[in-house]
Amino acid sequence: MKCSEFLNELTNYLDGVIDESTKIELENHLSWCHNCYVVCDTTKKTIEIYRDSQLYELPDDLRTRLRSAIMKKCQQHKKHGPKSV
Amino acid sequence: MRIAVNEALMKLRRKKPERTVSLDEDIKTEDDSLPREIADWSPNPEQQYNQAELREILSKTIQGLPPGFRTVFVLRDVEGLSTEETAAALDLSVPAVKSRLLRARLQLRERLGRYFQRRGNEDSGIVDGKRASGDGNQ
Ligand SMILES: [Zn+2]
Repeated sequence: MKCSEFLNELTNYLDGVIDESTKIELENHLSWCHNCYVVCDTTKKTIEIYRDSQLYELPDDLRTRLRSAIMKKCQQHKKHGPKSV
Repeated sequence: MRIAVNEALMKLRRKKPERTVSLDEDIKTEDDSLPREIADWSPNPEQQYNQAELREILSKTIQGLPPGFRTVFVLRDVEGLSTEETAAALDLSVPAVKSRLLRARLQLRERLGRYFQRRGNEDSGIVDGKRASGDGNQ
C-alpha cells in the first residue's frame, strides 16, 4: 500500500467504517510508515480538539431544526436517490 | 459555527440545488491538502495554551478553510452527523462528503501543526500564544 492509498482511506479508517481486510492493510502500513502514522495521529487529535472545544455549541432550537430538516431530506433521498452523481 | 449551519439550512430550503455539481468539481484539485508538514505534535498540544488562546487558534484556523469544507467538517466531526445525513443536508453525494471531510481534516491538521508541533526545547512552554518559534512553516 502506498501513502496516497493510505490517505484515501484515512477518513474511513478514523470513522471506523472499513472492512477488516482493508483495516489490516492500513495498520500494516502504519506499523512501518512513520509519516502516515504521524498524519493519522495528529488528524485524530485535530478532530478531538475541535469536538472538545465547544467552540460551536449550537443553540438547541437550531440543532432541532437542522436535525428534522435532515431527517426529512434523508427520506426523500431514500425515495429518489441523491441528486448529485 | 452558526454560519456553517445556516448555510446548511439555506441549502435545505433551496428547491433546486443547481450548484451541487460545480461545487463538487471545484475541489478536485488533488494536492492542495496533501500533508507537507509531518512533524509530530506535543503530547497534549491544547494544554500549551490557555482557554482564550486556544479558542482563537481554533476559530482562526477553521475560518481559513473553504466554506464548503468547513460546513462538512462541522456537521460531521463537531455535530456528529453521519455521512449520509450530511450528504442529505448539503445535497451532496456521499463520496463528495467523504472527499471534503478528508480534505478539511487534513488542512486543519496542517494548519494546527503550526501551533501544536513538538518543539526542540519543550521547557520554554509559552510561545506568546501565537505560533511555535519559526521552524520554517510555509
Ligand atoms: Zn505512508
